[in-house]
Amino acid sequence: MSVETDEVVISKVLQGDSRAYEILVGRYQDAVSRFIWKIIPVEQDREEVCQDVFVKVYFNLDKFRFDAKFSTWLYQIAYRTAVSFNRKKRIETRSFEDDEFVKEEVQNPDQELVRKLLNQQIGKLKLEERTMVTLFYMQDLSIEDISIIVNRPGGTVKSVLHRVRQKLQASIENTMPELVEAMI
Amino acid sequence: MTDQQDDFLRDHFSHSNARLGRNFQWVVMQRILALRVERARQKAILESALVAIIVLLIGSGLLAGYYWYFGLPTFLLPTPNKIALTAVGSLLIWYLLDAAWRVRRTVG
Repeated sequence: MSVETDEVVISKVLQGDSRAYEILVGRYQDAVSRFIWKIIPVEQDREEVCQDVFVKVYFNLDKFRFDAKFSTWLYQIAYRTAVSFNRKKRIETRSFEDDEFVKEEVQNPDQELVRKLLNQQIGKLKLEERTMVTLFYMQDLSIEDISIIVNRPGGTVKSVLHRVRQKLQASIENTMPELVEAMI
Repeated sequence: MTDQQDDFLRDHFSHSNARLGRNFQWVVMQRILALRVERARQKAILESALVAIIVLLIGSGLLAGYYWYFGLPTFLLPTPNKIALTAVGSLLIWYLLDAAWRVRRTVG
């Protein structure tokens, strides 16, 4: 059975088939949630913002230009929604260390320590830096897509990513120098 | 900056798991439906108000033109009672027109 492309589904929604929109929601809800999670670490807030994102996307679907990638456009709306939510709630940085979603099987205690440290450091990054890192490493988006989403030139995105990588490495090196050799 | 750093961070982020509630899709669709109904309601109210204003403006214009051309008949000379009656009557007509319009939109 062939899977309908995003563009086909969007066309259906625009022609009045609202139920088709459920397909898009189902397709992207986890990705958007993971992205939002790095900006808004509170579960209830995150769920609310995710809902807002999909509601906004639905009512703005007629503004979607079919020459762009739907996912990029979606993340753009998600980013703006999350940023404005943060502005209202004044959340800038927060550690993700104790977030329930980072619980998982501990295979190696050292690895777990590094993971916790990284989560702490990522939580301390500026919102824009955190967003870029999340989009690049978690969502596997290109520099070009990220620059569209955060509305910054590609060069800026590249230099921010470079700076963040150095920052994260330095923090691990300073805290656990013996582990760095083994892990990076 | 090395590929190892990239791989390491990619691996770190791959462990992130932020699931939404099971009924997330349903909730989103319900919110969309509620907003569509609300928007349709607001649009209907706005349209009915616009229609009423246009009708009143045209009516007033025609009436003013008629009286300007033919002069005001004695029985239409304004008195406080007549002004009050006209105001109440206009409001009543507006209310009835608006209700009829809403019923028509809901049924349609």
